[in-house]
Amino acid sequence: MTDKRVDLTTDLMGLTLKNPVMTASGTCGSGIELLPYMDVSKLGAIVGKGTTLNNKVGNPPGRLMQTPGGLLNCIGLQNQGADYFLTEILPEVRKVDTHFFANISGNTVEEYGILAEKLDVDGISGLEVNISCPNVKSGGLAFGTVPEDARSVTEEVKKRTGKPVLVKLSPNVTDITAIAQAVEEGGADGISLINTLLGMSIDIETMKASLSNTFGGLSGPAVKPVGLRMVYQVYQKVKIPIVGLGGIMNAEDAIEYLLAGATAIQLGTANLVNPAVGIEVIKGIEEYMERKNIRNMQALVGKAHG
Amino acid sequence: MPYATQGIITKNNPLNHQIYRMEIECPDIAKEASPGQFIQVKSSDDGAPLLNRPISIARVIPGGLQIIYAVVGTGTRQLSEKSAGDKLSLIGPLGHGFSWQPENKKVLLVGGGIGIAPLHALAEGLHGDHIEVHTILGFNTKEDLFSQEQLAQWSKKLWVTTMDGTCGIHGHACTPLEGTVSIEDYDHVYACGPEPMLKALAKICNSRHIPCSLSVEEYMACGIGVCLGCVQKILNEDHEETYQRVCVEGPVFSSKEVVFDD
Repeated sequence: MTDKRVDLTTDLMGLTLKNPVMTASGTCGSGIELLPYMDVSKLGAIVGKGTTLNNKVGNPPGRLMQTPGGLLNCIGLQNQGADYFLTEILPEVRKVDTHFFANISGNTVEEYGILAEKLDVDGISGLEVNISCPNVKSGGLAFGTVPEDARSVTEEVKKRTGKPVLVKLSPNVTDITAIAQAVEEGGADGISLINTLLGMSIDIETMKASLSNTFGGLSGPAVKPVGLRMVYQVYQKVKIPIVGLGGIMNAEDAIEYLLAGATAIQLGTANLVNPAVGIEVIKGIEEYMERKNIRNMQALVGKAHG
Repeated sequence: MPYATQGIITKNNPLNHQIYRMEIECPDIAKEASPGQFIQVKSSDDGAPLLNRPISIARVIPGGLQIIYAVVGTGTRQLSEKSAGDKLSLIGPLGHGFSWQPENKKVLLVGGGIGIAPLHALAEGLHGDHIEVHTILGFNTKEDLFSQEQLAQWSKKLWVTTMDGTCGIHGHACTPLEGTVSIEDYDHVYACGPEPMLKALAKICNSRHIPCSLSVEEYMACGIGVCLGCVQKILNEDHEETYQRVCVEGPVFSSKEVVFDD
């Protein structure tokens, strides 16, 4: 072993990550599922599958459709609820020596609060709040599309937990910076962006939508330019750290996000294609920094801004 | 335990106008693979198509696997264009496959179209355990036939059906059960094929209380249980309808637990 010439250690909201590479919610289970393919403890952090207060069966089959450079999905947040997560999954998660973020979704502001409190336990480093869900009490518009709603959820979660809180923004809005500023005002410790872009596909043989839910979230390389643009814009408007995601397939993509202003990045769809991609991205960032003679991660963040 | 590994193609030949048989050297996967499991195959390294494709394991051969696939889209077309010596990224073996009771005397295998592929390893394994295998292979037309000779070597009896009557019994894969073949003769029925075939067979077996294992198909992304994209509606032990992952809890389910939508 040669001396480590570069340091990938990343400070995220007061947490020390081994490196800036995280796995995105819904693409890595609880991290345990990836153990046959790589040493999961080498990752900066894992973000668990979306957890709701109660069991959710999810949408009927017809949950996936591949598109050029992308993947549409409408899983429908299938999960067994927070209590199951705490008793059955978390003990396994604790055995993996890296940071774990619980990703939470609710139908009301109160539900987010209850979830935040339930998950304020050892073994969970922080929360990631998915605000792409419909607010059932105000006509079903997603919390993440209305700045006031996004702020209310953030405030409620912050009130009920002592852990760092990332708020994951939906890209399906006119002005992403308005939402980002609202959650920052609400007390968010950091922002993850982007969640999936709403899309659809039609089967011309059956003449019907390919997905059981008609619409689904688009992920994969096709969305990367959009995610990158949003990270770049938000970086100019907020002071809290940004976790960038959206179509990152390799180290080069990850580096683009860091340069756009992301403090850390998440791998999503890439895990579905190559479950060991995390290790490859860490190595690729390390090699890039060596080649560019950059010693610390922090020097990369936001470097694309003048 | 599954492996993510690089295999080397040793053979890749067409069996008919649409079906190919490929042999891949991949000792790690081969030593753990069992009948009814599948592998994830990356047909292209340039990201188009994006996803790996799940392909059932037809047979385990020394140091490797035999897969049989139908050319139906971009990914399988790319596979068909590969040659011996080419490398192939693989993940496997994956999923919950077929199992059998050694005390069973006689079993029936029913395959429809490309669903015949995973029945090879099953027939071979059953035959090796001295269980009498009878097989029905269903095709659309004579030109679609493949593997009937290979399966015949492990089957005491074998029937071919075609939808248009150009070969064997005129009808679908369950047609022989209307007279030629008596379902009561079997200790267990195994099937893989299109959903209408599986649904018809499940109805017959469930009504006569004959244990029946179905290998189902669903659009898949990860194949390793993380995305929850490939679910099948299942009646669980508490008689609740749930969605289970075809890639982990499946692809083989009992006919009693599979819920078919009307």
